[in-house]
Amino acid sequence: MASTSTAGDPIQRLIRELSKLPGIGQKTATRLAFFVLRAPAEQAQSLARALVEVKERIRLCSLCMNLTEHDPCEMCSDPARDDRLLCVVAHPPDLLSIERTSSFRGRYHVLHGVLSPLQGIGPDDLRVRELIARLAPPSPVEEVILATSPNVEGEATALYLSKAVKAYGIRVSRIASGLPIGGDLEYADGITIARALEVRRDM
Amino acid sequence: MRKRSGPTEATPCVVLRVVDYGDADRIVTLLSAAHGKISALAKGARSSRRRFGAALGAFGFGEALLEERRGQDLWSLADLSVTRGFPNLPLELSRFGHAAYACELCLHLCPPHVPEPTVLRLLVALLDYLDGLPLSDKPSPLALRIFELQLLLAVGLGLQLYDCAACGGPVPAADLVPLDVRRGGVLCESCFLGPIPEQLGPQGGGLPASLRDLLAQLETRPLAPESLADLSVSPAAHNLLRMLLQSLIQQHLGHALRAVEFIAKMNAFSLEPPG
Repeated sequence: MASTSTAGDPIQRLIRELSKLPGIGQKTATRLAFFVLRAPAEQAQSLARALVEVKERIRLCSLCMNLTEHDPCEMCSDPARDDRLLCVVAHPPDLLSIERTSSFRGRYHVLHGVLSPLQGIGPDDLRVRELIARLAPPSPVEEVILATSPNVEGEATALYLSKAVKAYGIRVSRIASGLPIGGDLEYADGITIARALEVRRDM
Repeated sequence: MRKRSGPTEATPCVVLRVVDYGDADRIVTLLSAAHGKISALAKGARSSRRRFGAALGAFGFGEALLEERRGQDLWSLADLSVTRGFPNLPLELSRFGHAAYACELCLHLCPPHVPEPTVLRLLVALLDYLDGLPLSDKPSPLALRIFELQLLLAVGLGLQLYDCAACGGPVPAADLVPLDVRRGGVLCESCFLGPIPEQLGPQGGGLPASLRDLLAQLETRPLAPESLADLSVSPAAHNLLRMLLQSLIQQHLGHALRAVEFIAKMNAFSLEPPG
């Protein structure tokens, strides 16, 4: 069946579109395309509807820049959340990871990336101006928690933001990094152990 | 049964680039001592139970445990342990940009699977220099010029300074010698027809003796703080040097580097000061 199809036919078009998705190569795209072909029509229609809906209805929250159907988003509209705490994350999935812990009840700001010289990403490519706008007086924010990943790009972004935020006289903190819970010290790498010692706490 | 992977071997390396792949994996491009520039799949690198620790980020220097996957360009990264960390690189954005620029140059100028011990030493020396600077100091632009020159030389793309780039004959010392960047260096009288231009532009022209000597000197200068401290180059000479090297690099790459774009964006970006 595949050998008779041409570049313009629907199967090839679907394979081409699927293979544009991250982590999907030609082989996987072909497998997925044939799965959709064999699936009941309702399943394919439901997938198509979901794809269209997500593009038509999901936008950025004008306050926190997270993806949302309603603006402002659920978290920005929740009066039970603490306005004084603002947690800055790189990507929407990072926000979900923090939310899953149920241990943070403040507000969020999503940057949509980190500073990356190897990808040519500078501060204007991120939601930095929107973050700074939220801190301008009379902002209720008293502490900004920088929760970017503890890798080179995440650290550089946190350092850069900390300087910009401190200019407003607002307390800046960084999420802790070090040994993972349940991990063995014996197998940890030198940089992680050094960091864990550096940010040790009193008991 | 046919074995799908080769033996595991350990080699020192610097991580040049890290790209997320699939749900929890990463593809890393390494500059390794044993195999030069290679790409390897680091399975599970993004999960919190990952085996790679802090080494698996850009600029990480350590010992990689690699496994060749038969019939595939992509190796498998079994382990990466840190030998030398560069914790100060992200603390100041100009050195961060410089380090990324150096890694990106290696990424594009080093051919794959060709051992480049000189380039690896050079890259580690630059990262060491940048990491060791006091936080209040900006990196010396001459460090990057030395890196560029010595990298180009190591990968066989250096400028010919004393032999004619066209015929290989000697080009004797003179106040001005003809330089043609596209042909790869200086030219002798028989290969360069016409009067020697007095000006030096991105594609070449008349190369002054002082700049020729400086280029030769920087090609062998160690990339270390004490060596840089001894070096004095006028702003005009440095501008010419940078113009020539950028032109040469651009000619070999054929595209702009993202780290250069990043540095330009950082220089152009400013936030309104708090009222």
